[in-house]
Amino acid sequence: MKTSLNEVMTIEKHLEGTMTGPELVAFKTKMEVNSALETNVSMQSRLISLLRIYHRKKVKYQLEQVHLHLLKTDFRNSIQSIFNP
Amino acid sequence: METLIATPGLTTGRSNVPIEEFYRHSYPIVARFVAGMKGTDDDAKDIFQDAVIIYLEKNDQALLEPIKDQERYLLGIAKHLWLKKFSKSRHMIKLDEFESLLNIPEDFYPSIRTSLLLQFLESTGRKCLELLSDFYYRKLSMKSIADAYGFSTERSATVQKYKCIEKLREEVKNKSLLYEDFFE
Repeated sequence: MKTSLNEVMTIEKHLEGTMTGPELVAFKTKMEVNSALETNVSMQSRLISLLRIYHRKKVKYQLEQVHLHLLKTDFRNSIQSIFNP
Repeated sequence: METLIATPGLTTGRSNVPIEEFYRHSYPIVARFVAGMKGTDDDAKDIFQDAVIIYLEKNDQALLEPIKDQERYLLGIAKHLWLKKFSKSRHMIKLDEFESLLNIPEDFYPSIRTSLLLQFLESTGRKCLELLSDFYYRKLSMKSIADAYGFSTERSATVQKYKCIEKLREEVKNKSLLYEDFFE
């Protein structure tokens, strides 16, 4: 695997919190002296956060499909009776 | 209709109730609250769906303490979402002890910059976004991802996952710097 992919894997391990002991100390030290690595850690963490937002968008879309489907059933009347009693 | 029951992250947690049944049962509870606040059915739909998303996330995280009272939780979150949306209602909503302990994730309403960044990634790397969100947030195994995306082995899927992270990470880096010029 390419060096850069190894770096991605190592950063993932760090972000997951599964890096421990001497490996963690070495990684933190490396980050302190290597600003490019520090930036990559920060950007990979930002990417994971963006993925969460993307996932939420997808779930919302799927919930919308459920809603539309339910509106074709007696669900519509029961909801209308809440807003127009 | 695409059913949600087949989506691991989209059943209603440990009880494994299909989302459609859950929706049919729980939506009226939130709708009654929104109607009581003089909101519209669109407000109710929006708030309910957001509350479900937060509920599903919390339920996934709370491995040791599953959320037992789904309706109470949803209604509590719905109240918080309503307050966030219509802060003028603050004096009209009383939160009980349980509800006051609930909260909306800080990043639930992304900033303009974050939305633009995501929009950009959606236009340039949708396949990678899909694969990575399936792994990180739908919690699919690499075997399932290999099958779903047509990789011959788990190893190929894993390599692709890392390539995707690398690709999107670079795009995030480049665009973040660009957006900082505009928004900060």
